[in-house]
Amino acid sequence: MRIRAVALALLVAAPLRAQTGSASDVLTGALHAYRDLDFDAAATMLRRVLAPPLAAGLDDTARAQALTYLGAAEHYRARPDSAIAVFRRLIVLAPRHRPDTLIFPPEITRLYDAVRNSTRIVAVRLPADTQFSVGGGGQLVAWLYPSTPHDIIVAISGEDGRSLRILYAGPIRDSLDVRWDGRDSNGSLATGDRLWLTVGSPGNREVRVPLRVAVDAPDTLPHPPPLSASDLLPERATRKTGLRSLGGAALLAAGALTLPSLVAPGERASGTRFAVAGALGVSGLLGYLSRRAGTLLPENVAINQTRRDAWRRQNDAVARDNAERLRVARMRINAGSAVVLDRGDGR
Amino acid sequence: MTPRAFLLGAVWALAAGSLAAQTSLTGAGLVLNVRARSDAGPGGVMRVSGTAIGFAGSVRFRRVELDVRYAEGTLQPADGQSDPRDIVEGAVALRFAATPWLSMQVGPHARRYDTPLGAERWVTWQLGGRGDVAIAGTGVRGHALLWRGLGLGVNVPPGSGSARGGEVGVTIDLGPRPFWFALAYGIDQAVVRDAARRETVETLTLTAGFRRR
Repeated sequence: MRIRAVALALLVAAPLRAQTGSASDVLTGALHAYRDLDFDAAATMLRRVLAPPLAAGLDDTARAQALTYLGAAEHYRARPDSAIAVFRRLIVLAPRHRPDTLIFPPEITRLYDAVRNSTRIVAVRLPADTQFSVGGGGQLVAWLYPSTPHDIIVAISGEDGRSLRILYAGPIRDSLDVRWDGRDSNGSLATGDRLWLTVGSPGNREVRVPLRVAVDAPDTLPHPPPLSASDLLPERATRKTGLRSLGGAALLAAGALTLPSLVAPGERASGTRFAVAGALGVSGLLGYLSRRAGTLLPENVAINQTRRDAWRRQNDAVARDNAERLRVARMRINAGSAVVLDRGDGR
Repeated sequence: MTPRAFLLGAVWALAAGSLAAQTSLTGAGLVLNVRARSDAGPGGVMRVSGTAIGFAGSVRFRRVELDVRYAEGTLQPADGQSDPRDIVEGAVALRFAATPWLSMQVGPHARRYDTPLGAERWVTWQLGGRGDVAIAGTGVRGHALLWRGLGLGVNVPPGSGSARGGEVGVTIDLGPRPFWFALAYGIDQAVVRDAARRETVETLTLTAGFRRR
């Protein structure tokens, strides 16, 4: 009775160990099952190891190995759709991965190549931490490896997903390195905790790498606001311009004529004031006639030019000051793990 | 030259250069037609008129301007029987431009008549406001000035009183050339308290000047 119990316990313990072992143990068991041509058991164990919680114990290389075996096992289980889906998952994970031709027969590698040719995705590799001097020409370098040659768009996007700058748009073959100097399309430094390096492939498939970008620099000065219409004088006369000249002169002429009654009421003033009133009247009339609507107002043009020059000088001074501040600034870029967004047709 | 003297000289040169860049100067010659009426009560009215010549100058730094003016001449009585009077007048005004078209000014104005009975001095402290109007761009401008006396001092008859006055004029600037001409009409009236004495003076002033920025 005791011997039977021990034997039964040993029989049950082996599968239990297989069920409760570490991810590498389960993977090893699956590979043994595959080599023993027990594809059903291999597939079961491989799906287990690729799903939580065991999946967390696999690195990318082991995960790629597990997917390769799973794809092959599904093929031999006569489940081509599952095999294709698994290989597509493998290509998304590791576009540069190739099944070992010494282990897998040509029918598996051909199937894998067929899936890879129809699945366009790019692997993005970039350093986790990058630091460079803003004024020293430093750049972030991202290396891109495609599953198959195709056209891509590489961009830096903001937190809201809008593109801040297109870094590259065109074909990619074996590999490509893309550089970013930390600036958006306007030339301003793009900083933020949630920027993205995005690589878009056909089929609405996109690889996104989160970036945290910060600049260690003294605050830059704001540029002066651009001159608005209210800051500038009209450079062409309007109908009102001439009337204003005439009105001002008429008002002053009237002032000259009525000044004696204001200052010395009751006194009989001399006629000399008429000379000034007349001069003002003639000046006003000449001003009115010389400032017909549409005529150039050279004094306003000169004043506006002075204001524009002053604004330009101020703007240049701020730009120079900011450039000097940024020259000594350092940019820090932390890159996170890439995520794949597959919103397309599955190809 | 000692280092200290050199340093002081350099500071002075820099300050002078900076001030010069922001300072404008004007100088002008004046020809005045003066008409004065003295009213000393019933039967005591006297009218004189004549021509005076003089000069004026101003220095402006940013919004603050200092004006000086001096003229002298001889006034002939209207009745043809009285003796002529010599007239000398001078004024200093400190002006602050609140806006490009409005400024305030304050300063003393003194007028002296030499009569057979002795010198008659009228001193007024004036506070006024002046408006400038562009009539044809910056080339032709008009102005109007009204002032009121803060204090009046007279020696004959001795006492104090009130005074007020004004001026309206037109200035023609010859553009890029540094010359300008002006024609202005002014009138002021001073009343001596307790002496029934009233002095009204009208002036027509023709000015020709230059400007240096």
